[in-house]
Amino acid sequence: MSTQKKKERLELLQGTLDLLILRTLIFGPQHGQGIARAIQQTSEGELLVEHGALYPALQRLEARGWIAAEWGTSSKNRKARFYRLTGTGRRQLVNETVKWHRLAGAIGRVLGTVES
Amino acid sequence: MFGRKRRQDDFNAEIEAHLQLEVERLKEQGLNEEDALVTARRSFGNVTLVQERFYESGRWLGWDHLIHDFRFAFRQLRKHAGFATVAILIIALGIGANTTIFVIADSLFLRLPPLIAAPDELVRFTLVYEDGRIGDSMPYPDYAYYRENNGVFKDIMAYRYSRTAVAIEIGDRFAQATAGFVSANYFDVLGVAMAQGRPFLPEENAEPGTHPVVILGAGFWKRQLGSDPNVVGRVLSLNGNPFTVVGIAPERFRGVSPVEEPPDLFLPAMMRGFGLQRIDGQFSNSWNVIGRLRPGKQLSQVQAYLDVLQARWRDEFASWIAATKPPVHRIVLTPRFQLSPGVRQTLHRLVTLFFSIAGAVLMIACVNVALLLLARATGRQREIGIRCALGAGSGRIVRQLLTESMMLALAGGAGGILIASWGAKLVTSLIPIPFSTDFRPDVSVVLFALAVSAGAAVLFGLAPTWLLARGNLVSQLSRESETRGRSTFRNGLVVAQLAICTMLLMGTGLFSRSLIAALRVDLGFEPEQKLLVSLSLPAARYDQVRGTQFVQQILEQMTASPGIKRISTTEQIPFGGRWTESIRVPGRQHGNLILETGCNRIGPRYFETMHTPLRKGREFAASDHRGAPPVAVVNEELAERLWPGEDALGKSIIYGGREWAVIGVVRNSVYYDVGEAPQTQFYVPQFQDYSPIVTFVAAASGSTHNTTTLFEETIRRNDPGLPIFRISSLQDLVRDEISPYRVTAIMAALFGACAMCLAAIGLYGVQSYLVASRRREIGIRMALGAPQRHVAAQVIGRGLFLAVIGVLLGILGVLASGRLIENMLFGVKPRDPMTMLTIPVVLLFAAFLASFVPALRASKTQPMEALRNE
Repeated sequence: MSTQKKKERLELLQGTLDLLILRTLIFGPQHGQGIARAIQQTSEGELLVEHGALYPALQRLEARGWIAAEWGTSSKNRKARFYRLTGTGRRQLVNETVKWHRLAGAIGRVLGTVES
Repeated sequence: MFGRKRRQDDFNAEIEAHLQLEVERLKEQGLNEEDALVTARRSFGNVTLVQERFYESGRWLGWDHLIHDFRFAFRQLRKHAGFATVAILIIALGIGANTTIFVIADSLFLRLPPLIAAPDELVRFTLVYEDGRIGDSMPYPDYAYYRENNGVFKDIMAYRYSRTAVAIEIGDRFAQATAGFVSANYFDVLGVAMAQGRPFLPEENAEPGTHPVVILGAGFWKRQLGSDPNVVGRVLSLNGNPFTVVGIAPERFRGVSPVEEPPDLFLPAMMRGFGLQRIDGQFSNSWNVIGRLRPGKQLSQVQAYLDVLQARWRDEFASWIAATKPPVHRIVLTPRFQLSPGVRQTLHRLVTLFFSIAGAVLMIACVNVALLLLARATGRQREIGIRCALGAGSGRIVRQLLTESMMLALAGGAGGILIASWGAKLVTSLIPIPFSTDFRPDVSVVLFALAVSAGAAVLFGLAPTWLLARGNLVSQLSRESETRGRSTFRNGLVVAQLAICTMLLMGTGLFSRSLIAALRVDLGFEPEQKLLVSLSLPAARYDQVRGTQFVQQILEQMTASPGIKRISTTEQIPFGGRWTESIRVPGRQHGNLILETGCNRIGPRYFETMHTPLRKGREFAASDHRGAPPVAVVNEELAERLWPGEDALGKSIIYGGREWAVIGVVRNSVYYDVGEAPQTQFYVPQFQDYSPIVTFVAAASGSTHNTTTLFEETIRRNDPGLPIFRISSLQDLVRDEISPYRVTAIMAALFGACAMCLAAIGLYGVQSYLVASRRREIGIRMALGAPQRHVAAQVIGRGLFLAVIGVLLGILGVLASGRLIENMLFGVKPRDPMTMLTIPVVLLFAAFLASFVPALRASKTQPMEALRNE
């Protein structure tokens, strides 16, 4: 991970981290490190997620009741705190995803005309 | 912290787990342990930041801050223990003064007397006279009339707690007791059950003098009878007359009103006068009347009914009403039966006055603490500047500083409650009202003290806090200290303090002048060296002839005794309560005109004994005995009322069915109250109008103790079984009478002295601070040749300047608010020039003293030292 490579990565838009976390959890419970790894992998390394930033977000989502957490054992036999999507979280994910697609589409259409 | 959803260490553990997982993943990718750890940490970012953000997201953060603030404040105050002690003491004084007054107000106005059932149903009969005055008692026949015609009350009772002493024979000794007369239904109407025995039966109060029964107060029963369980049914001798004990009142029973002490003995109203005192005439207004409403009855309905009843009473007794002066306009039923509106008004005025005084003291105390805090704040500027620089928000700093003030105030409040718990006892022991409540602080008192503390904290804490938090960072970090705005503010505080202090001291001056005026009031008699000894001659052993003989015997033997200059008798003693009789003038065209006037039965040479000047004619002599023609003496006021512009001598009056020739006119005296309007009064010889109550008055040259012994021996020699129910010196009676003025003066003086000390300390503090902070400037001036005198004069001049402004503002305040205390003053006006001149001089002198030490210190400044020090 060089400084060069880091600069090329995209910074997350405000509020999108929550959405990504919820989306990642749709495949089943996962711990913080796993979520961070998954976001990085599925975005093919394009998104810059500072792992540390993940935790306040997880805390926030847990407080809102969209995800729930409990301590468990990871595949490598380590203790970790696992997060899973709740019913409300699932509905929230659907809503937010729809909204995001509409927003992205709209922005894409606006920007499409000036694309060089 | 408790209450938080998730613990910090749980969160930290999660982050630790994250890092471990990441390290393992990186190791799998082939990094060595060390590199893996570094990379994992790098991709995580700032661990501490994340932890802090978690911490701050906790819901109890505000609480955490509060705890921290309190801990910090506590450390700060402990570090400056001297400052903290002084501040807390000052606040405790201020809050203590207010809480003391609150304890009294609470006991008088808010608490109900104990044991009384359904107090909401009780109403007090209040008389409104046509001249607007308010009375709380009526003649017994009037009470009887309303009770007989009662259609809307459950019942109506009447009571009279006379403070008359009664001698009660217990075994072979006499004890003194106070007697109260009540209607038979007294305890039933109040809903109070007897501790032992039974209440009075209706027939026991039906006919005058037929049922000698008594109910004992629990306190008396305990004190004097050793809680004797078999006392009910026993016969006790009251003033030599046998009375049967039928009941004992419950221990917690404190009567009806917080300003009346319940008597030791309860007697049926109809026993009044039988060996005790005479039953009242039609016009003797002395019975308090309280009715119990039927449940569900509206007060307005009952009042309407009573109005009708009263109108009928007026028609029936029209001829009598013409004579009462002034006539009763209306009888008003007032809820909150404990205090009659008249008493409530008086107490209200007193409590308001003392609240204002105590409030002023608190204000001064607050200003003082504010000044202290301000002086300290200057020293803390750097500390606060640094905290600002480290990122503390101004809100956070204000909160921290306010917490410190709050802590001071709460500690002061706790001290205030302590002060109040004995302050209330002290104050009430000074006031000569027979309070029946106990002045113990309760929950509402604690709440009050808390509220006042919080208010005070804001008052004295906010100003310095605001000034500190407002100042900008740069000026706080630099050593620039005294800004112009701040010193103006400080001066303003000192001036305000001095102004309030001036007002308080003016009040003190006025009340002291009232006391002096009351002490100097012309009573119409001379109280010095006079002893009063009261007897009650039991009807069983003394009829009129024997009673008169006995009194004459004592008079003769005492006159012959050494040390007795003059001796006489009287039925009424000064300030002993109003006693009136109906008289009329024979041959007047409206022949049935009755005048209600004060009456006294006196012995020969009474006026000579009392040093009351005779205006015309002669006073009674030994020759005015039973067989001689009836004679009377009138006072100037009565003579002027009955025969304006004529000579009263040779006229006569009709009283008690006999015609009495007026043989003398005597100067007006004070009879009931210092400060009363001139009262009409007539006198008849004791030997011509027998009364079983006799008070000997002796002008003696020896000590009171010797005279007392002489009296006791003489009386025992003539009748060993005869009880003396009161011995007092006339001077003591006068002293008790003017004690309200004394109490107000003492209280005002206490508070005034307190205020002046505080204000002087405040001024001293500001001056010292100023001298200290201007040391450099003073040093330079002295180095340039300013003489010591000039430096000192400047400091003192500044103090006096502030004092003059404060005093002027204070005088304006007194002029504006003088009317509030006008009717509490006696013989002095609120704009009394004497006070207006003296107090400013006193205050300016105090200001001079307060500035003197700082001025001295300023003039002793060594220029070189002051300059080098910077």
